[in-house]
Amino acid sequence: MFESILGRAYRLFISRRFAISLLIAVSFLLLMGILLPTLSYHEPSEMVSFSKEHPILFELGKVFNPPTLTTSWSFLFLTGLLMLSTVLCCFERIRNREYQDPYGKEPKFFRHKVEFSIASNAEDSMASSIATLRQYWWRLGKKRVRENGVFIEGRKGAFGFWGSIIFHLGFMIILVGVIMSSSTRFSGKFLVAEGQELPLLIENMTTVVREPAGGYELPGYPVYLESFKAEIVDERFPVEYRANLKVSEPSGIVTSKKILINEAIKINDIAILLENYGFAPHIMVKDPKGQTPLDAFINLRGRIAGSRDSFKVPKTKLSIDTIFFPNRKNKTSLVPQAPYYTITVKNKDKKVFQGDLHQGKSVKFDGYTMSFPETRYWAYFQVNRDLGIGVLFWGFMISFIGVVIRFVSHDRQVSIRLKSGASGTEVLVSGRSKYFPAIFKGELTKLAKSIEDEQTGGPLNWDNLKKYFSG
Amino acid sequence: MGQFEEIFFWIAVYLYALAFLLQLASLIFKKPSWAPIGWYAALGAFGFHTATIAARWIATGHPPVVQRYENNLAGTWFVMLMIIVVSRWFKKVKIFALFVIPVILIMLGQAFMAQPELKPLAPNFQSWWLWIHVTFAWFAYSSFAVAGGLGIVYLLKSRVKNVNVKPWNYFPEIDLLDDLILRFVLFGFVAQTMMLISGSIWANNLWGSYWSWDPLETWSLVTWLTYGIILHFRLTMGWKGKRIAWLAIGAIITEIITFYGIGIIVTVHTPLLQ
Repeated sequence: MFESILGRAYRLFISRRFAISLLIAVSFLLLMGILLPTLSYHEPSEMVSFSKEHPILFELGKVFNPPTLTTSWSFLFLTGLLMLSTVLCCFERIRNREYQDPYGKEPKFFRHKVEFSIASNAEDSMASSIATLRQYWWRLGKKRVRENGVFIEGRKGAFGFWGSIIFHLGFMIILVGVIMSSSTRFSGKFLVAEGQELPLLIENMTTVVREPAGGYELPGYPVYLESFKAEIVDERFPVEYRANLKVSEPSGIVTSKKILINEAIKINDIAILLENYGFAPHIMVKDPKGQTPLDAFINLRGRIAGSRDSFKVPKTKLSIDTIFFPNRKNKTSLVPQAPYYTITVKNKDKKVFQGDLHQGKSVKFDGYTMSFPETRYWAYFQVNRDLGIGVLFWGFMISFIGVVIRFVSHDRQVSIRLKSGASGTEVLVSGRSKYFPAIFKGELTKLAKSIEDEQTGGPLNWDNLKKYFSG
Repeated sequence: MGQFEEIFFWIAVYLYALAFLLQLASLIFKKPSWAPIGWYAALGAFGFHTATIAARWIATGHPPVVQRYENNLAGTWFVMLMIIVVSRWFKKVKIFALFVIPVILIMLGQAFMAQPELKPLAPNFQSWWLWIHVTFAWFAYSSFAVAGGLGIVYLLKSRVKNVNVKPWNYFPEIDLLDDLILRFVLFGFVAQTMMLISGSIWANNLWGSYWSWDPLETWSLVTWLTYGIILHFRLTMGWKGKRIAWLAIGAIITEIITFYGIGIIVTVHTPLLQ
């Protein structure tokens, strides 16, 4: 009873129809998900109005949007079944390889043949047929001598079968990599200004994007932002951002590493990426008593003219709204040159100042003095640790190799029968192809023509003239 | 748009239009001798199309892979390249220029309307993986588009009783069409596999995440899976002829949404294509 159920299940899983049905089901679910609004890519206000106008679609969107769907148990179960089915199908295909053999009586194969006679004897014809097959990169099979003639066989594309297997193997490795990646991945973001040092610890992350289920501790060694540079062309187009991080590694080695956008640095098993940057003005505020409640670099948002942000001055009731202008002379320029802020200062919600605060200058309001001696850059970094990424990329490589092999290599076989006749040799070139009958027909006809030309001298062309004159 | 670029662009557009008119006239007025002239005009247009791309590349200092203008310019070039390369072996494929050129003209028109500004590449696009990603994307989508076009001709030709009369004898034989559909779908699938891989590697370098279920990423995956299903039907289930032709045509929808759906939703790919 149990064996019968197991046998049925096995037969189900090795059925290609079942595997394709699972693939269709996975694709259909993803299609459903993408046709519905993806919540994370819409403004909250849009989603609120959408949920009121289309409550059913909104609820379906919550369930089927790809990030939620692909982490749901039902989808993972379906993907698991697809993996199992793919593995078993591949296993069965390798096991039953002989039934795929184009030499066998596979009814799906297309067959074609060309017959002609040539004046030379069978021995010469055989030599030239072998030479022609080699010329067209056919792998020669065994020569068979039968009552009805001599048979020479050639084959191409036998490795295409393995291309398919390699591709599916790569696909499985990718899925394993995805599982490893999602179970070990840590991703966090931290912000550091020029001249600032920060130990790489989870508590110093501004955002923890992802943490593995079992938890993870960052190494804790300090990183120090030595400098940051934004290269701007024509004052409008940024072409390179470069941060120099000094990293004190656990081994005691202190190294200065350059990070560019698209070029992360790697320290042991973690990668640090440059993500964003902005300006950090050094702001000093002196209160009427002569004390300094604020003397710090404030990491303000924005790097283009007109960027707005705000901050509060500790131990006071002052709140300051800022509008940033990186270049005093050219308001549209991105190149920082004599930057300034247009500030609006409120003391207990009462506006006490509005005006420009230039670098190196100070302004006075309500007994306070606010100065802006210098500007530095801040940079935003991402720190990642992912143990599955290597496996994933190996899977990518293997699956790509497999699919390329599948593309360039497709099964076809030719057989040349040579039989002595009254006026020379009768040649029968026959062959079969599994996937491309019309293209194969042309290939076979060309091959037959080449064999014929090889014997008869062929058309008048340079190669034949060279052969003639060289004897 | 640079001065040379604009000159080459308009010459290419006018030559494409001439090629289309000549090929269409050869079919309508049953004048086969006009078709080769149309084909040479298409080749000339392709030459100036290439020159436009080269002029743009020199002026901006990077391959044309960002903004709607550059993508349409490069994408249409790849579609025409496909037709030219395949016609090297299968002469009758040249007639497909008749169907492809109107699409090229519409896309070039749309590109020009996008007001192409010459600007250097932003730091996040300065990666070799981007060139690989976009090049393979164009190979994939142009192959799938050609496969869909072949599917349409297959279905039309399969309805005709006598395929040896004009204009049907201008098109490849029906068996060859079936083979070519599979060939293009396979090639497109190979290219799209590389597109997904390179995009994933680039995303990991740029954003620290190889996959983020961005709507365009998901559409690309759905397109890839759709063509994967078609290949399974054809290669393992033995589906041929009309069924595969219909599937090749239907699957183009996923491709169109992947490319043009970008304008509807803001995604991580938006700066690349707007």
